[in-house]
Amino acid sequence: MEVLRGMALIVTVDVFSGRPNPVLVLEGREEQETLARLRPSRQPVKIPSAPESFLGYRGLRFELTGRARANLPPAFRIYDGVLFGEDLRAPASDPGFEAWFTSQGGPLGRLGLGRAFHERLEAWRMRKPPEGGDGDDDDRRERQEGHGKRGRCECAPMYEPAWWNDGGQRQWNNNCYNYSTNYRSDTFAQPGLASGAMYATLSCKDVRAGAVADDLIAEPKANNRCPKEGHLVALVVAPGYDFHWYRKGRTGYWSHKPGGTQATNRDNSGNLIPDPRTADRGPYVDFCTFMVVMHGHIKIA
Amino acid sequence: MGTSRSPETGGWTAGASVYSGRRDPTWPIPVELGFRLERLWNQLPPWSGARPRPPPLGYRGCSLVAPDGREWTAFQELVIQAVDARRDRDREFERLVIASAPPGILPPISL
Repeated sequence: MEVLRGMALIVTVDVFSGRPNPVLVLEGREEQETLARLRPSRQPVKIPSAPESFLGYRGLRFELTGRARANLPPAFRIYDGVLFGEDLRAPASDPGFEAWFTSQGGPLGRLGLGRAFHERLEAWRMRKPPEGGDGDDDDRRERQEGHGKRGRCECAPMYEPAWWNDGGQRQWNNNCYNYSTNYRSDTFAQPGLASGAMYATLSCKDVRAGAVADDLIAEPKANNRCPKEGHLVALVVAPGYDFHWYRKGRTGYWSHKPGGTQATNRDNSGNLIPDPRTADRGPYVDFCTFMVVMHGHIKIA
Repeated sequence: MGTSRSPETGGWTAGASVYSGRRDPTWPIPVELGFRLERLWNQLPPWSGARPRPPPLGYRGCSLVAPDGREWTAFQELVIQAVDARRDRDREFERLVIASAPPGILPPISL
């Protein structure tokens, strides 16, 4: 085993989102054993793509300080047994490295994070990265009733009516605008109010202008296609009386929340909504426009 | 006109479930009309059979709240107070409530 004197190895367990990730500094024999187990193997294996941004275990990140090591870059990562770094994409010589390192009896156990943490980390580690499409019963029903003809919208919010339909505070104080933008304000949000530019009349022109002031993006030519970023919403108006919004979900179908009533994926005729332009909208006879909600960019009240 | 779901203090309040983006409207009604609707309710026979389901958009029914907090809702021939459901074949309860709305508060509603 090659000995790497004078070096420290900083290891970050890339697992949390809001909390700081656990960090461990290895020196001496522990560092030597770790680097030996991490030595890149020449065994031919199918190399997966590098882990991208998702919630859960995303691998172990390493930073080498001190003298450089010939076969490892100064910063690299291991995920699912494979090393990723600059000019590095190879399996580690010890395929069980992550299991050993992250176990309570391994180096990570030294941080005293508790058995529950190690059990949870092991469960996360055994999971594959999400591929999208995790929906509830209604989401599955949408797929059974015709998904496949419509493109999926990976950036769109899930159809999760149970979250909105609590029969209380959340349901009664969040309207179609809240639901379509996926933004709970508990204020029965009005387009433009947050930016001091609330609509003056209940017309397409005024309500759309209010939404633009809230930083929604007008996409009149979206033609029911998912945007590359954010998600698609649609504005309709009952001229002179009210406005209403729909949102396009991950399955490509649309859903909406009429006022303080329950969120639903059905139109006034009881049908699923592949396109709000052709849905039974009752008195909301004016289809105004498609718009895009960039997550985190808008502010409504 | 109020805009909350709570009864206006000390009086009878009517309302309609009709909007999506705007808050649904409520309005005070005369005491005499409140008592008339209560008498009408007392005379209605029990409901049996499938209940009508309002559509998601547009008119979804009306409501009445008494000063003591009791609340009725009506849609088509169905009138409900708490767990008690009754049939109003002529939809008189619903018509009286909707007819009591001040001008301009509601969109055109055909009953």
